[in-house]
Amino acid sequence: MSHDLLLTESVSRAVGDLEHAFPDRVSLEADGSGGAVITVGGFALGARWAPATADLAFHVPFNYPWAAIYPYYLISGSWSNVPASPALQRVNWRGRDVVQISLRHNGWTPQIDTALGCVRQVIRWLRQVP
Amino acid sequence: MTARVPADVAAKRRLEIFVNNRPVFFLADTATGAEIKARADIPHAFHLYGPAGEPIEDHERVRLHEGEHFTAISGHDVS
Repeated sequence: MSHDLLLTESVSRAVGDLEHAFPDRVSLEADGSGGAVITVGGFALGARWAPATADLAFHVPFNYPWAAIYPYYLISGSWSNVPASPALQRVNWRGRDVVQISLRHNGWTPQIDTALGCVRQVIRWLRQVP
Repeated sequence: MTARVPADVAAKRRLEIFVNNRPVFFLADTATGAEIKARADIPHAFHLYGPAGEPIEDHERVRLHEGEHFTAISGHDVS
């Protein structure tokens, strides 16, 4: 599916990276400004989470990569167990009860950092959260 | 006397991988995480992930395959 008319070139490239890394697991909703809300489905999170599988969603703004991605959201049917961490908050986002992940890239480097890297790192953190 | 390797032959021996979509060339088929970041001009403090999303530590030596995509990302903090 082509999103070229709806997304900035950089956001479209980010979508392409994610689709390459996670085939058939990426969906998006254009935000009307050149950015998009992207969801990558089906991450196994580990036994500390219930349910143990969830989708990861985040907004890639029109000015990406000059603006970092923040925050992230975990979407599942209903959460019965979420690890206790200051970075995790249950919130209502876009009409759904989700888990917000407040991890910020304080050293974000637009020339290097990518949305795919964000997903890799956030998923690793979620699997290791004590 | 050392035989000179023609440029086109040398080029074929190069192994091309991608780090954050940038092409990076290696003459060996293994490299450490630190070597991959250095060759790609990625700051040392960045974290490196392999083609399947597996974290690669600086000291860790991995086998490289033509066309593989690696991902580097700056660190994050609880905010």
